[in-house]
Amino acid sequence: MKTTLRIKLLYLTLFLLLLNACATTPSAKTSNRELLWPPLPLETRIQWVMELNDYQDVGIGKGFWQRVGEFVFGEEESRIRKPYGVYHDDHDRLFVVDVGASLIHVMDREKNEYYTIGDHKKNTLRTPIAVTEDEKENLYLTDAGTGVIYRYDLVKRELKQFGSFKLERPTGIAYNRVNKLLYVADTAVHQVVVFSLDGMERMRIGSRGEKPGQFNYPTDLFVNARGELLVTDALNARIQIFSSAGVLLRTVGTVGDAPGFFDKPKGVAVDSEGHIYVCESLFDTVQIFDEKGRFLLNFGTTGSEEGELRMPSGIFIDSNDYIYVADTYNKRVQVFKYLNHKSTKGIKAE
Amino acid sequence: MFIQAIALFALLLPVTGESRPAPRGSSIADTPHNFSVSGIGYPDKRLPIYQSKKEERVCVFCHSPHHAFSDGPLWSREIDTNALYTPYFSTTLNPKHLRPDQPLGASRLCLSCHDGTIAIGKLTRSFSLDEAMPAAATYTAPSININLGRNLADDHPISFPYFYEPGGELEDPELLPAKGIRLSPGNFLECTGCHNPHDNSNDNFLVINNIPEENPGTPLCIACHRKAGWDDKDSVHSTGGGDAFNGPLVKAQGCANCHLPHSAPGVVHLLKSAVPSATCANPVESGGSCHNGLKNDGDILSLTKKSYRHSVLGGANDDHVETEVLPARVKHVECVDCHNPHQSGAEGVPLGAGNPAVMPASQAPAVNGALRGVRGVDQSGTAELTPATAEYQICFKCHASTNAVFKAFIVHPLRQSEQFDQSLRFSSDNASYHPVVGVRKKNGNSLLLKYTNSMKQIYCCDCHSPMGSDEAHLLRGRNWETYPSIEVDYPLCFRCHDSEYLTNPTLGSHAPSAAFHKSHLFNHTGANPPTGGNAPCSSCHDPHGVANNLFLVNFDLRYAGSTPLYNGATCTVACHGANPKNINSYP
Repeated sequence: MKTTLRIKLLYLTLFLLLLNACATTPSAKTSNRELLWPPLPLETRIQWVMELNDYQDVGIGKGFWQRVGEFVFGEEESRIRKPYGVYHDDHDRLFVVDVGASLIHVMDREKNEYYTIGDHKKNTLRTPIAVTEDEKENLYLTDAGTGVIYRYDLVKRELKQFGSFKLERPTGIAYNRVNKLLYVADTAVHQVVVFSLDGMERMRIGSRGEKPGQFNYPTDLFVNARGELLVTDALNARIQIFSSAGVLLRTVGTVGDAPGFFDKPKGVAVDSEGHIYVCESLFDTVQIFDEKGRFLLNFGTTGSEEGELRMPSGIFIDSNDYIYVADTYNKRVQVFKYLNHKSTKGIKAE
Repeated sequence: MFIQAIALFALLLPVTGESRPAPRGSSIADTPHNFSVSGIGYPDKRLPIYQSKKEERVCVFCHSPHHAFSDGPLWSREIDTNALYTPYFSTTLNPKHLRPDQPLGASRLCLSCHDGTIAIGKLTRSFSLDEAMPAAATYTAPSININLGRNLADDHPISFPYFYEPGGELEDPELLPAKGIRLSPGNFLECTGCHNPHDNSNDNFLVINNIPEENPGTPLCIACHRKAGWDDKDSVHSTGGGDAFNGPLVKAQGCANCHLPHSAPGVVHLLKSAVPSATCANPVESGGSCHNGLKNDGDILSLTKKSYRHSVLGGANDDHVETEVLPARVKHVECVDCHNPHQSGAEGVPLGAGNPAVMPASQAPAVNGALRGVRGVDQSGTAELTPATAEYQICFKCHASTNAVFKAFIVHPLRQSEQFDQSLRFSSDNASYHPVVGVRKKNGNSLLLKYTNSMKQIYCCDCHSPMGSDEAHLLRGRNWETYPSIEVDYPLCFRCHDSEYLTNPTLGSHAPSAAFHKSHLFNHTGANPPTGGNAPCSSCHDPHGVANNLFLVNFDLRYAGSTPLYNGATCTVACHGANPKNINSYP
């Protein structure tokens, strides 16, 4: 369409858009299948909530002027391309690290706003992998391709390098509220590096090897409510759990092709009752273990429908036990909920 | 200081990709895929290298061992929800899903590590002999879909069926195993088609050595991709051409001259540059040296920057689609609209030259080596030709038919009979035309002596310089076209036409119109602009073709008034108060 024609049509549709501007925000994609795990008649533990391909799926509407702008100038590309890390904070903000698009999607439901961190045309970020947040509304994200950790001030909306160091290949990152330290997995040197928030390196955990406490390409991290650190020890096919000081507490899992075993584990997270969730990317499923490492359940099968996964990677569980899974090769994030013992009713998708 | 040196070294690694030599063993234990603590991998800088006795651990990172189903999940003991686990013998095979954008089978195993965490995810170029094209990939919108599909965006597509048809441009899959290329069951192409993760003797775990210095001509690519014309002896990108300096390098790089299988900045067709035509004419700041004057292959880059040009480097719309319907509907121009990089050669270059560097010479209207293998549109302006056999057919792709008016052009002569469809202007049914499409009708007396008997047809490029020119309308010679003019020479026209014959009435043999031409062209009003001046050729003549008038007479209405008349012998124009003037018709 030629631009002049567009401008003419703009006047015509302005009227229609005016009417449409007050329409209700689009509802999230829901399912009419019962997506419960374990399947009925067993007691439901995990329920599917929604999938999101784009920020509009969480109910963030496009403003009137944004729609006008898009009509005239063309739509901005906001679709998730290849997600890895996910994080949801207490201000109802969902962060999705999109490795494929080299940016972070920020979906702020409190303020009904969507924006991105990193400009893929300018290549600000090369290979962003994971993201975490401290108490002062600073985001910390890792860029595996450049070895840099960035701090993003969510209030000022500024991206800066964190510290003045470069790591080999930082991937997983997690902030520990108990001791106020930032843990970063440096995959290529097989260590977890610990920083204080002033950018100084404080400690390194681990070395290369297969013994307990050693790593072989560690990737994702998660810090639970007690301040314990969970590390995905990817090529040793196990999750290792350390105290916040770096003392090994226990390991979970070994290699194998049966349920409860790992082949290529990626994201790790813990719910409000201490259950450990691990994304098993080659089996297209999320496996759940208890604190002692006993296998409890897995949910998700291979596919692209709701409740199906393709090589899931990142996972995060917020304080309300919503489980966010980066469904990487389905280009989306799926949300599930752990129904803890205190709540027996399921929830409806919003 | 030492730490900083190491840190600096570490900085370079992600940018330059393989800056450390990869161990090239043929057993997996001697390759970077040995992740066990006995693996040599890349020499670590900080940690010592171990030796482990447990050799069987080498395989477990990709081949997980079979485990009998033990307790089962505690939360669902009675019902087995774990049917997703595939049997041991095919732990990575998933034949049910055919959508090409989902990684399948063995490719999933590769991608489970090569995602930026355990291993490099943006599979950076491991060899790029044409130094440093932009280091990081730039992406185009995923909504654009082309014929081969867009798997993993900027990487060679995987997880799709290898589609073979006889006479097409892919090799018969029956012949591939003998070359070393294995397709997955169902003739699916996966990462394992080109890579063997156990054997690194060819570097990058390739099944065929594709390193230009060691095995020139990129044999891995051409094992499957049999581009038409690539084996032709005059296909310069394949053979390197006759240039002793540049040629061997171009020949060795083969497909890698323009293409990158992974993380290609030019996502469509996996080109080395995000702006497709910049792959051909490299901007100097990119570090490339193709067709930009640095090597002996023609400085096309300077041409594309001239005042009048086909804006291949991003001025116009770049959505060229290989299989577009012709004549073209969407305005765009790129190098590949006129040139086929797989077939183009040096024969007959430049167009029309009698003694080119590489014989045979090109004879109008036939294409030469540089225009070989390009699609075109025939003289009717409607029918597609694959390939075009005449040069004008390539121009007619865009300049013929109803789409030919792409933009309101700059100031140009306002013709009495205005026509933008070049196929109609050059039609052999017209009363007069420059013989681009049709053969010359008359006896050529107005031509220079050397052309009178030989020049029966001409090329578009005899007057135009389509890549770029300092002259409006992409003309290759100076050509004034407004009145008044101070020009006394029209090098464009008089490149072929004899100015003496046409404008010198004292010559023994001269045109019947010589006196009138002389008075119009050389001493018209006796004054100089702006008060007066000469009338340029274009004030009366229309160089392409005129349906109704002889001698290409098609008055410029800006000067000749709104209703000029010409009947082959007399003109009635508004320029002159006293009209008409008689001229005798001349051959």
